[in-house]
Amino acid sequence: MAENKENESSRRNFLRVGLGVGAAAVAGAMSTKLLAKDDKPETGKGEKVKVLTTDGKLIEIDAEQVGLARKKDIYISRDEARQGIPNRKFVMVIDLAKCKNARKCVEACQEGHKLPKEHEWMKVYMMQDSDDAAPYWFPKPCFHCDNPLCASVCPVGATYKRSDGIVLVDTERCIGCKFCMTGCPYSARVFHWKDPEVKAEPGSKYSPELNVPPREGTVSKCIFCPDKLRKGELPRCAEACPMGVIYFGDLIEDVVTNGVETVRFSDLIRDRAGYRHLESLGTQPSVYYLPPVARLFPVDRGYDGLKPNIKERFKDVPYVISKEKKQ
Amino acid sequence: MSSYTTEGLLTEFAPQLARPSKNWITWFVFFLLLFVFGMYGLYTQLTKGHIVTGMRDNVVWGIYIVNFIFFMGVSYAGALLSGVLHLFKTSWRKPIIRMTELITMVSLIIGPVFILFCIGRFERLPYLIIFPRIQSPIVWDVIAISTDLVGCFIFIYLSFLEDMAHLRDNAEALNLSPWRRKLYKYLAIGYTATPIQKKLLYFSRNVMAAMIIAIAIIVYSVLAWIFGVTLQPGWHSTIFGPYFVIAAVYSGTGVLLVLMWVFRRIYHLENYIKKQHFVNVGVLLFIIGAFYGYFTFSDYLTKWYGSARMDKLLIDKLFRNYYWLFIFSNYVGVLLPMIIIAFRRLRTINNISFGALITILALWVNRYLIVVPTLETPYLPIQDTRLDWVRYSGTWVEWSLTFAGIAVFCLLFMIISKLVPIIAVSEMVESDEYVVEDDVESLLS
Amino acid sequence: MKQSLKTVIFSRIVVILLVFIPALAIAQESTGKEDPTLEFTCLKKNDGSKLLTATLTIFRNRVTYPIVGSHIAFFLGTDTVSAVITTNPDGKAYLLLQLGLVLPLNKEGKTECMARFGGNDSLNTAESSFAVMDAVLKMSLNLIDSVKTVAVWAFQPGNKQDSIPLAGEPVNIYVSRMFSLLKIGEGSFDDQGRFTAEFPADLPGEADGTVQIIARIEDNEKYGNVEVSQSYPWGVPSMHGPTGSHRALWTEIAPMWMVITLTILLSGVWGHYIYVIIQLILIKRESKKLKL
Repeated sequence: MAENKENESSRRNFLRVGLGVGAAAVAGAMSTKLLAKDDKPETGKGEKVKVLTTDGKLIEIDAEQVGLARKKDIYISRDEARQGIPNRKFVMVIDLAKCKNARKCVEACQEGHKLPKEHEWMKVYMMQDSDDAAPYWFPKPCFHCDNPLCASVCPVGATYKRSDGIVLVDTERCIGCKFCMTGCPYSARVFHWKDPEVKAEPGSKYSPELNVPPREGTVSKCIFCPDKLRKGELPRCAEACPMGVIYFGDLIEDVVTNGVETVRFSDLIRDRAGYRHLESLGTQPSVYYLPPVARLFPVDRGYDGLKPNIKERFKDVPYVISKEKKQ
Repeated sequence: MSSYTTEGLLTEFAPQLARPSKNWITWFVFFLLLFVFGMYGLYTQLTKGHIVTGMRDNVVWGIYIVNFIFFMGVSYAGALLSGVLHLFKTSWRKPIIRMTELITMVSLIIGPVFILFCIGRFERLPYLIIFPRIQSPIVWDVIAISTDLVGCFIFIYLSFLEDMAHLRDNAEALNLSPWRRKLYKYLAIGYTATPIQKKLLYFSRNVMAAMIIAIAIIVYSVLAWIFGVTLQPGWHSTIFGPYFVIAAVYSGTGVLLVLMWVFRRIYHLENYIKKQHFVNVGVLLFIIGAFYGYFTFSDYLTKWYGSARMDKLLIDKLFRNYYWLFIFSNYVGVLLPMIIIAFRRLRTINNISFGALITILALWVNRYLIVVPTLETPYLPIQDTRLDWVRYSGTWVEWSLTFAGIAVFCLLFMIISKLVPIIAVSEMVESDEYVVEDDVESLLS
Repeated sequence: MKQSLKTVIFSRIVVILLVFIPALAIAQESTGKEDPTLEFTCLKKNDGSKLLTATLTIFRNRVTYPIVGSHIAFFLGTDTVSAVITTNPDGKAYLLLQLGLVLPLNKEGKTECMARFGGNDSLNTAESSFAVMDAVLKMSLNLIDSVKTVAVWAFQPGNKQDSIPLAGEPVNIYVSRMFSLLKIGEGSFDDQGRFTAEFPADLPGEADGTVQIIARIEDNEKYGNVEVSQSYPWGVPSMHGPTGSHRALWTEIAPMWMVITLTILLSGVWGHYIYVIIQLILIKRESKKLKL
């Protein structure tokens, strides 16, 4: 199934990717600018769609009746957030053969969750397993393990695993002991050491499914964007990736998609030899990786164009050391 | 050896309980200033956030946790020692047992405070009681520390009881102020050493002494398991429970020796705390130190020999970035006290106390080397340009609070020594003759 | 002579360029407006109604933004405006044509539809049009030799005898999933306008095995987009509900053995404390007895 690609027009794909990045963040800001002087935009509630009847009359019906209502944000309270989205078990597959360190996933995540620039819930590493092995780009979100050490050691139950597999953090309950950060072997969590100076939207209530605004003195991490999942949209990193590296889906349905390509999860893992990182630790992650074989780009594509302050991060990787030596 | 009477002893110790001398006040003010400086550091942290400490996303636990482990270790050591000394009825324990018990109590008050500095949102601490998860080692630790606190208070109160009664009875002869008389009378709960009361008291003390030993071991193992149950390289070691207990007893014995030296000097207790006591406790230090060295060696040998990548990274980091600290803590800290006590020529009071001081410092560094280098070698490499995210170094806030903790330790001791005789009068009077039965020194020569 | 021909041609080209380049520049300068993109599609849905979607966007700095609240005029086969729809916050304007609505056809038998954006102070006008013929797509789900088969056939509507099969047109068969559609069949209609695909035997459905199977003719030049769908319990019934015990290391409630061990330890220790405190109370009572 991996070789079957959906026959989408490039325009549609372009729009979907473009809108995914631009619309959510910018429509609010841009809409007033691009607004014609004529009308107000139609908002979610009571959305209407015009219908031309057989008599040639123009009537209006509810958009919901014909499935054209725009998906609205649903507020999930702290207690509701402890139950997962019913009948789902989410899984992510990251294709290391396509990643070129564009870092669009990092930026989209930071933007969507209003994170300060130095906080990264999705981190992209340059991994090199040994001195002679090949280096590759390694995007790493939280793995949402099925045996989560972080949830096991939390003394107050601020971090918990839900029935849909997502491990959330309730920053209203977190006491900031950071035991979960020492428990996680994948360094997936960040701590807000100072006031992040991000204000909540006026009138909005805190939900662990979006985890905005971040709170000083608490822990936060990648949450697989449950607020978007409830609307049937992919997480922000999956939508933003220009190379379609990140596949996301439901294990029970056995299908993952990166927005363009939809494949059966079991086929993808079998055909491309998917694996989980540090499987021997026994944490049972929900994120699978497809090995960097038959790569689309050499590793340098993601390294050469980087800003110096990010480039410096990789100075200890053996490949970079030998590369710098040659120059 | 003259026998001691209660009245005689109390008269001799009375000056301790009298008004403070100039020296006392000077030291008191010095420690108070250190404490105030620490409070300023705390205020900075409360207003500016934890960013003023050196802790960052990788090394999330730093000097505060090191201090917490250290002080709890000293406390449990005190508890263990006093329990052991009490149960084994060693006669040479008498002058020092009160000090041991006090170390337990004072450290137990200071230790948990350091945890509070490390908590990100400590207005939410009550959640530990409202929403506890008993699968979490931190909840085990909360339960354990509170159990230990109660146990230690009961134990210490039981050992104070007779002295309180004596002080109450001799209040006039000692010219004690009215508020003190009231205090002693209240605390003595009408104990008048009748046979029934004596029996009740001694029985209780034995029970508590046995409990204290068990509690001290379990409680400190729970603290060790906070580290041991995680997967971090260096922490996920099966030896951590016993290792921490041994290291704790080692540090506690060191603190005891230093305190013995200090109080001997200040209160001129040369007749009571003699060289034999130093030597006997020194031998304890030697034995426990040997065990500590053995456990440390065993732990690092197995890490170094096996080829596991994360263990190798950790050992490399220890020997590259922390070389001298490692040598000081695990070689000097073990061998120096042992050498001092082993050779007769070197076995003087001052030397032994100096060895004990080295022990204390070495064990603090040992805790630091357990906590920090492990967090600097995570499974996923730290790829970060910010230096403070890559290497941990304590800031002035953390150090100021460390010294404030030490200052509070000394302050509390100074205050308590003004309220209660630092040598257990009741213990001294118990036997008719005060003879050092176990002359360990003659055994060693 | 040859040289002069070359120079003549050369000079002509120069003249043309000199006229047009400034004209273009002036044209741009004089308007100073941006060019939006208008996309106009038609989808024939399962119930036979047709959904016309006009999407108005603008491409800036490598990102596409929707244009909200703008009027799009719809022309359905005629020169008069059939409807004017305002774009929603996604930049889309929808017009639904009821089943049975008859639209004027052109010479080729296609309906020409056009969407037009009239422009505003900052944006130029934009137009998009297509011409499609009506097509009927039908689907039936059968077990043939115990193989689950999806059969679709398509034809242009007319009298039963006159219906023309859509031979050779490409068609895709999908199964609806949470975020997207999974393609299970792809091909072209045969001469009779039929196409069959096998439904995978091991595809999970909902708890009772229900799956939604969709057949689509997509982006067809002649027929636009046509879709037909059906829900049927052909999927493997999926195991839902919580997996694993609700008592584990990471759950809210601890494993039983932990609770028991902790209770035993704590009651043992605190029991001793209470015992000792009782002894102390007895001491006090003793002293009271003596005083009396």
